[in-house]
Amino acid sequence: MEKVLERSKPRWCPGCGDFSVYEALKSAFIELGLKPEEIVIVCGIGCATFIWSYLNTNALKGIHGRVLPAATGVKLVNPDLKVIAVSGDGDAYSIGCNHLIHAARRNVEITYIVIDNGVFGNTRGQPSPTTPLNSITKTTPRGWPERPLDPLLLAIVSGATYVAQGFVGDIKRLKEQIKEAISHSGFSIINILSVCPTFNPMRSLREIKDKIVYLDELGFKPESRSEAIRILLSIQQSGKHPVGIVLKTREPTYNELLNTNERLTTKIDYCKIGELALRELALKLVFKDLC
Amino acid sequence: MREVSIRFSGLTGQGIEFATEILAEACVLKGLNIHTYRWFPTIVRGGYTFSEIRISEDPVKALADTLDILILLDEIGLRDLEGFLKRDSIVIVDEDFREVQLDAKIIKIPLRRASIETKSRSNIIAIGFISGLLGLDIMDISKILEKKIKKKELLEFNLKGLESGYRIFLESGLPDIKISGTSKVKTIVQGSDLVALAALSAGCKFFAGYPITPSTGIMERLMKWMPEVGGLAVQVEDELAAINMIIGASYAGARAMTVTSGPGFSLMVEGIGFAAMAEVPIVVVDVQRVGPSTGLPTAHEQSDIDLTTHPSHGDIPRIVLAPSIIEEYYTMTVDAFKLADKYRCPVILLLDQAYVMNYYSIDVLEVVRVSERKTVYRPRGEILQVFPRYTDLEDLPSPPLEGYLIVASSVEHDERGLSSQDGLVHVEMSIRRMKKLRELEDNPINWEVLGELDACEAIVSVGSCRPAVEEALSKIKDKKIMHIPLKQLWPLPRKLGEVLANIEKVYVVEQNASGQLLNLISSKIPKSSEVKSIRKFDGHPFRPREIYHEIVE
Repeated sequence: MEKVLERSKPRWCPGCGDFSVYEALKSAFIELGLKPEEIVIVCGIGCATFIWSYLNTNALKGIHGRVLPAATGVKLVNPDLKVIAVSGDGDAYSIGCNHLIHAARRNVEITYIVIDNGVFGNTRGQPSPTTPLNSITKTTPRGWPERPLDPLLLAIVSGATYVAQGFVGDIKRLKEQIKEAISHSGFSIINILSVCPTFNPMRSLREIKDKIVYLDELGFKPESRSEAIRILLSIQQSGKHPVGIVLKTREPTYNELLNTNERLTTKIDYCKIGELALRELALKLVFKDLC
Repeated sequence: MREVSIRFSGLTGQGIEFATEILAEACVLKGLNIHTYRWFPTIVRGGYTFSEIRISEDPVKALADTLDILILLDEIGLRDLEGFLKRDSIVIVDEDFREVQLDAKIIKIPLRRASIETKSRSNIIAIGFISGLLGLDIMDISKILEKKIKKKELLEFNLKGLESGYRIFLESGLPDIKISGTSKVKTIVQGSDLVALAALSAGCKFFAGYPITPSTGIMERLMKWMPEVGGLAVQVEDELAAINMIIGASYAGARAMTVTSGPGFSLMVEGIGFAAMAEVPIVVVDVQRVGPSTGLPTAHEQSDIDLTTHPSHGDIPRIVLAPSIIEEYYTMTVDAFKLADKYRCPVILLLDQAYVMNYYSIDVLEVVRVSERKTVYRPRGEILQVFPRYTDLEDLPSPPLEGYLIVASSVEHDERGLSSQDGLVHVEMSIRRMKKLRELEDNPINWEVLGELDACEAIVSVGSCRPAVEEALSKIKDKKIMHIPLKQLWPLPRKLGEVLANIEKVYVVEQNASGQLLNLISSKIPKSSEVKSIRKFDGHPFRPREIYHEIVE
């Protein structure tokens, strides 16, 4: 099974966090017993999104920032597919941030994996919305004059029903988070704290690891939105990184609210269309060898 | 008299559009042909608006050149009248209206007083009056009002108002205008109705859109109708989401479309390039409005020809269709879905506000069968493979497909969709993409040449300019002119060049300031030909006389 899921040898820079996500994702698919044919990986643009060409599943490789709308289209048409959207912090929180709010609000059953290394790596080193204030980068020689976005808080207030933070230095935990997210009914997002040794050398695995607070070790139960916000704010104040599941609730999904659980096809019921035209427009349709 | 044209003019909120709708429905019940036209601002109350209806025993499609009856519900309606009134035109105004200096028959009636007495409104009094004047059945109109006004008390007031207006006509001693109906059953539709209905008829099962005037009518219909035929329609956060969502939906196996107008289309162009590169069939409807930028959001213009024929960076295959008569809003929307699936590229329907938002009487519609997508592909072996999606195979499968994985990608790719950085692969795939349109270049859909085929002069028109051109040409007897309503804007039909090869003078009729159609087709016009560009861009569709004067002068 492991071999079946490997399309080609992953190629990222040495020490890139994406390798860990690749391994965790692959193991999660295997342990969940998913067939490659029923998985669709939807990607935008950025180093993180290369994952689709290394994993042997269905793939829709789209354009920068529009991962979630494309993934939503797939899920609405075929609810049986496991739809995994993969982005980096630029794709998800900069150019595509608006869609995150709305996908979360709709609670569309997609697993959104965001590999957050705090830098635009594919364009070789510019700041992203999760880059810390005052960072010196190629486009901010005098320091980045913007405060970072908190993706977890954003996802929670937007209405996501599964919100977790992972860490590329802990593949085992990450794999469990991914498995849980894929099995979750509703919109799930995992922000994965990652590193880019090539273009963001200031941020090392060690440095992240030292600041991690494991939520389960705090005895935190991810059951309510208000508790989730409270704990995130308090950990944020201490300058630490929460890792673990922040929120997990069951609320109606987009498919449920739209009352759709069957695959849409291109079959045409001409009689129904004829009835509709007559009722709505008093228009008589003449069918050529139909009905 | 074989036809009558009427304009109600006043302020938004006075029920100007409502009055036209009522008359339109009453006329259709009599078997008459109608065509309406509405000018309205973006403000919902208190802006200048007018609404016209052309009623005829024979089918009419163009706007009327002149008005037989003008109803002024406010003095603001005294504008936009140059060339419209004749000596015997009837102008109906309120009895308290100030002195009107118009060279026409001014009829003062107690519009306001009667509306106060009956607790109705001036527009209803006017409808009552007009129905007397036209010999329409007052019972028909009562029934239409009953259908449209749900509140019982309000309906009673309106019915009283209608009767009062009718009585005012009888007491006026005016002779009625004879316009006799036919027995042919007709119905009234807007272009919006036909586009939405056609999408269903073509098997479209997924719609995503963002409201924008003047395309919203199509969206509203699809939101209502799509679930009834086993499809899904959703309103999304913006046009970027809409275009990418329909690409996801089409990849997953549904025929999918979005509708928008110029500003929304501008946002969608990156997605259109994505669909072309990933070879995912989609249909994008652009209902044009006056640009640039926000422009005049509610008015008519044909200034998205440049944008829609060249919608993306890079070399992309795309098909742009511009229906020229209202019936083609049905047939060519169906064509759009067929072509999208066949060529696996974006098909853009370039529509006119004038057709989408106004009412037309039509007879029955003929529905042609559209086949399902071929989605079954027999697996060839035990080993899981990536489906060769980028080949000439007719199958267009979607996941899950036993034994195969399906990849659609915006990155340059090989025949399976897997990324390639090889320049030679790019050459090969570019040729593959661009050759798709050669067939349509040679055999354009819905190609038509009207008028005199052996003429030395030719008119090329686009979209809703067609009926005005046809009516203008019907009045020109001393010149032989052929008329090509160009319906396939991209790829440009090779035939256009062939037909124009020996033409001495070419008129290009379009509604924008820069001559976008002329620029588009200039390579097809012989260098020796004289070219006359006939353009109008005041937000109103062409009147036949405006084209007539340009040709005969």
